[in-house]
Amino acid sequence: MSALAPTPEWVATLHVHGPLLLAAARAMTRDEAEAEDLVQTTFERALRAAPTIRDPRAIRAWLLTVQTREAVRVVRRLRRTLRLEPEVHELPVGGPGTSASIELDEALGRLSRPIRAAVVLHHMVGLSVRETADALGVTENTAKARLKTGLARLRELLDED
Amino acid sequence: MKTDTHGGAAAEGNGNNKLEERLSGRFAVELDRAERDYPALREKLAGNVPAARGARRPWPKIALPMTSAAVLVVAVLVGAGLLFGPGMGSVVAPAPAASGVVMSADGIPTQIDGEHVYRVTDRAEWQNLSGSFLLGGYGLDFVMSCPTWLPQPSAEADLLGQCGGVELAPSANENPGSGLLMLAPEGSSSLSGWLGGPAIVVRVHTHDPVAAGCSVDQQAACEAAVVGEAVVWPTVPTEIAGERVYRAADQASFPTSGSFLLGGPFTKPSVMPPCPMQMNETAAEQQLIPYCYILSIDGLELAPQSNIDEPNGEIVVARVHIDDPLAAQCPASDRAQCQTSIVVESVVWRGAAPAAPSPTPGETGSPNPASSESAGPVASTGSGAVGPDGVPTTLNGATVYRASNLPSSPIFLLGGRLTRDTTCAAPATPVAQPPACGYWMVDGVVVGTTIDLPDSLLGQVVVAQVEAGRALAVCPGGSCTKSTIVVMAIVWPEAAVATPPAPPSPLTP
Repeated sequence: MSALAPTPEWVATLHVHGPLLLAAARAMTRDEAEAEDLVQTTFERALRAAPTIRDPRAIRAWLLTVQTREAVRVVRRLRRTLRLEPEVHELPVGGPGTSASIELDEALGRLSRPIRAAVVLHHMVGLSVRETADALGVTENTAKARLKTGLARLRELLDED
Repeated sequence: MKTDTHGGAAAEGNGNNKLEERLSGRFAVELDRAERDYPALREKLAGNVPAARGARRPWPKIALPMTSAAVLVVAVLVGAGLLFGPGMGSVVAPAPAASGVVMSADGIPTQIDGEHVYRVTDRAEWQNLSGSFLLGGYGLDFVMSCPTWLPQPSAEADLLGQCGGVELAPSANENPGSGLLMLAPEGSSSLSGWLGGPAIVVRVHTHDPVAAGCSVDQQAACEAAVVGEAVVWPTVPTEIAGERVYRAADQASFPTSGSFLLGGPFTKPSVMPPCPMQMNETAAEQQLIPYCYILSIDGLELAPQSNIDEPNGEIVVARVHIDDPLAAQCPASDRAQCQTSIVVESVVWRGAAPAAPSPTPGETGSPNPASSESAGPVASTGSGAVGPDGVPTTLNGATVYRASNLPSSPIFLLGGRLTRDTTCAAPATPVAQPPACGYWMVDGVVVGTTIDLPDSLLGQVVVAQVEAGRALAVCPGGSCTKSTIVVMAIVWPEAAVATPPAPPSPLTP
């Protein structure tokens, strides 16, 4: 394992993960501009941190960790200044989706951000529970509880049995 | 796409399996969309992402962490509320005089008990010192900590703050990440309650023994890393009348029954915007979950129903409790947060807020830093120069920017005449509503606002504290237009400053 410097190769490595970061950011924030901001912030951090990352295999999870914590941090910051009403502030993740996916998006949007982040990371992006817990900065048990709560709430919102 | 097999969520039955499939499928669609959209975003990133820390963010964001807002407001509203009126709690112990503290005009001691206090900018004087020494400055929070599981040599992770962390700034009006002294992650937690607050003096050392574990190419950097040990000024009591005073670092061991003492710097927003009604929260949540107007002790946020009203930066010890009976009335989704919410019952000890910087350089021998100084709640015209058109050019040392010279800073003062763009329809609810088409303007600059700007100010010269960046707009039933500059407060003239909202009245559990 050799240290990765912020070389063009490192930047290229980051870009490989770009679409995943963008998709995850969109799902987490449900706001296009905030999602792009998140990806950019994540890249900035990644460039600064390049010398400390020794295991390229950890990059994907690490990038998602940086992005998730920033997502939670940003909304916490916003709560201090502006009242965010999800129904009126958040833009649909959207695209030419089917009504079923719109319904799912709306249900996701009604989850609190920490719970939504857990659901996105584990059930959508595919991180393990352990990685999800690390990304959220919580214990594994807390992550499991959030996932359980998230799925239950989604089932309720989607009126699924 | 889900790959985990040992998570609790995977065992929730067929209903969950079906839902997990939907989620996975939805993300696949989202990923396809991102694959298509990413090249355009990559172009922006390729041209704009800074290659070194400290570079400015090319895309404006709504705000730096509130710490930076607090720092700026400290610079603007010098001495805000340093006087406190009759307290709500009984003060059982007087604030001890900070004996042996020699203050400087910059509000930071130059000597404590005969020991010299170095400045961040005096690096040549302290960088080769052996043993510990004192560094004075203002603690700022810059981005995040590295994930602890990141595989890397632990010595380098402990000493080199590559992912951001705690910075020490020479003055209160610095922006985090602008090339200040970054403290090593090791020991940084001891400063956590002081970030964005008053001036502090920290005992630090370089040449930490951990540096021996660094790789050869990082050895010099590790040796030079500045490790914080403890905040030695201002001081916080460790016990009062034999009762332990808990700090934020003790949070894991807070008593869950009965009350206890919590000490540290008290912080609150220096600007108090009117807070919109919370439509979806229960009364219990409104009393327990910090919202809009955030108070904290030692960096820990306090429940809105807390009984505390102290000057910003005041060192306090308060009697508090957690697991308030009201928490039982919170919805299940928020109950855990309600249960851990810290409710202040009373303030039992007040220290002294550090002295505000004096406009006159020089040293004073004040042993007790400025417990009774005040410059009033807002800047006054007398504190800064006024330009030929009647707009102040500075307020308490902070530059007042104009439309012609807008800074790149995310938070700054904007001066000029307050006008309306009459081509736009008035928004239905002005408060917290960045305009769709530039309803308000300051010095001709289109602004949004988080406060109610009274009609009486129309046409008048004002100085506004603004945040430059993207704001999430309220867009009922339509797409959102992003405002780029948002008024957080009118800081001049004084009469324009909104009266702080009254604290909510406690509910009976």
